[in-house]
Amino acid sequence: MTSVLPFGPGAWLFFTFYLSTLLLLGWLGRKARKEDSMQDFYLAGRGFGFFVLFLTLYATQYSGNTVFGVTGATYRIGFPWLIAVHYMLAIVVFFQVFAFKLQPLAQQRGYVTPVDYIRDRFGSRILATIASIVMIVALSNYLLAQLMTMGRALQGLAGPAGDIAYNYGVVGLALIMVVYGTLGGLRAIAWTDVIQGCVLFVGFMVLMLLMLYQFGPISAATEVIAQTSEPEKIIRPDASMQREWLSYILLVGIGGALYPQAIQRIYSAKSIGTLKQSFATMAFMPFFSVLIAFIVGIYALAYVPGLEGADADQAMSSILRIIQEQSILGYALVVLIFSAVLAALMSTADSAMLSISSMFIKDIYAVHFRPSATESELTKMGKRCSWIIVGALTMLAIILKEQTSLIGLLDRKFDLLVQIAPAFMVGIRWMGLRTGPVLIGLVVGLAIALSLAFGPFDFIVEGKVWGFHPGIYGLVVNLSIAVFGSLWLAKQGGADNTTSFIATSNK
Amino acid sequence: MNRELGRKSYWIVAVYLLLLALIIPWYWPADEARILFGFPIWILASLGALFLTSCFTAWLCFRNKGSAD
Repeated sequence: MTSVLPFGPGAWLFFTFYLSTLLLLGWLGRKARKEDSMQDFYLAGRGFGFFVLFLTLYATQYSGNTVFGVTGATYRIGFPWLIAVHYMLAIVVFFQVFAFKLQPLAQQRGYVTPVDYIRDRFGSRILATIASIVMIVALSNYLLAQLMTMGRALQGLAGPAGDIAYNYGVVGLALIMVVYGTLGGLRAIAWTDVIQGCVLFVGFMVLMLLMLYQFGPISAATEVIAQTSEPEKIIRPDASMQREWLSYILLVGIGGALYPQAIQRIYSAKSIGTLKQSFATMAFMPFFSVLIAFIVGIYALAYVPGLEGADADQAMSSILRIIQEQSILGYALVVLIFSAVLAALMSTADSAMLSISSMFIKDIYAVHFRPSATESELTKMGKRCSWIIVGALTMLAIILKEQTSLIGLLDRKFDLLVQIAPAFMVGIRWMGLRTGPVLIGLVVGLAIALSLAFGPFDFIVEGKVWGFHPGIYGLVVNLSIAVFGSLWLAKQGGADNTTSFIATSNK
Repeated sequence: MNRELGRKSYWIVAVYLLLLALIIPWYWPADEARILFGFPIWILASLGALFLTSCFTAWLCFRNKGSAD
């Protein structure tokens, strides 16, 4: 954002009140804790009913990218960027492959982190450690991106003092987030998500109404685009773009379902019924959020021409500025929408922070360095770990302020995350899946995805090969090795170290 | 995975593949740009298929609400 949204004291008072409420909920979450255990701190005692579970899933899944990224990409690409609405639903579809089987298993066997399932199911420390590292790296990148967007959001408000505001924005919002997150754990974060989810939902609805009021119907905007923009922004995607659609649906659908913070919300559901009810509602949320961000991009394309390259990401702010300048009511509603932007950023970032700290402490520290540590010690270490992670990533966000291209290169989280899919999505449904082939498949899949993503190959166009992301090629090979390797081993009659899991989980 | 569950899953996968085929607008002419209700017509078809996907997903969730399948 540039200096397009200058807010007055009233707006700052509102933001201060909103952020103070988050701190208060952190403190209340701490008061509500039932025991000093990892299960209570990281999974809120596995007691989430529909209302909290749905809103925490919603607030966590829809991030700053939903607001700024989708609007900016729609501005650049036009109507073919409708794919953003599709891939958000694909996440809910892919959840169904494993979530309803994983939830009762997690209750029964006391899983806290996603890797607890992998360790239990496949009985391999090496596989579990590689899976932890993949998830921690992918999620750290995600958290860093959210912190940088928080800085940019504040930078946009400050005008000439933007650079300093960026630093204060990153440090201030990260500090608030780490305080309420470490005070009350997932309970506090989910309670703040309830507020943030509501603000986000109301913000999107208000935005849609304001756009209709300010600019008129979408038909007028489409007509303007048809007359002035390039025709490819209206006509249906060509064959290459259609392959990209398929790639995005698979990559984001599978990768998004395997976000560690999402899996931990599956663990924290009170029952399968609650989980199914939440996912059934989530299946309609793309129409009330990302579709609106897409429509904002269309309005911006029609009425705010001339944003080239990276400036297209300012499409949302430009639309908000026009609305804000029209009336006092418009100004007040833009303040609400900006709060929704903060809500989207913070609710995603806090969940990522808690998830990274839980995996680092339980899957790396407790397994490799302190196997004898008590639950209480690990929880305490987890809180310290959150401070260290957020401190380190905050410094990185400040150092890399201008390095957007570097962040772009690092943004391969889904290419990495999808490589864990065979272990979760096949492993939970097919007990014939063996440890060795899954491990080899994971390593080969990661190697293919990373070398295609970062290697100096001429056939890679905009980070994709023939329209498909590197992670998809890695996943195809990975899955083939895991499945055919397991079938081959079964034919050979080799020993299977997953037998104990099958025996006990079928009880 | 037992055989009955396998058959059930294949049927669900087939419906999702059909919906996916409707979501990706490959079946429209390359220069399709007709507008209906303010949107290109291929966008409305894709959104319609997406809405059906949402309804099907919600129905699957509610069908066996308490079951792990």
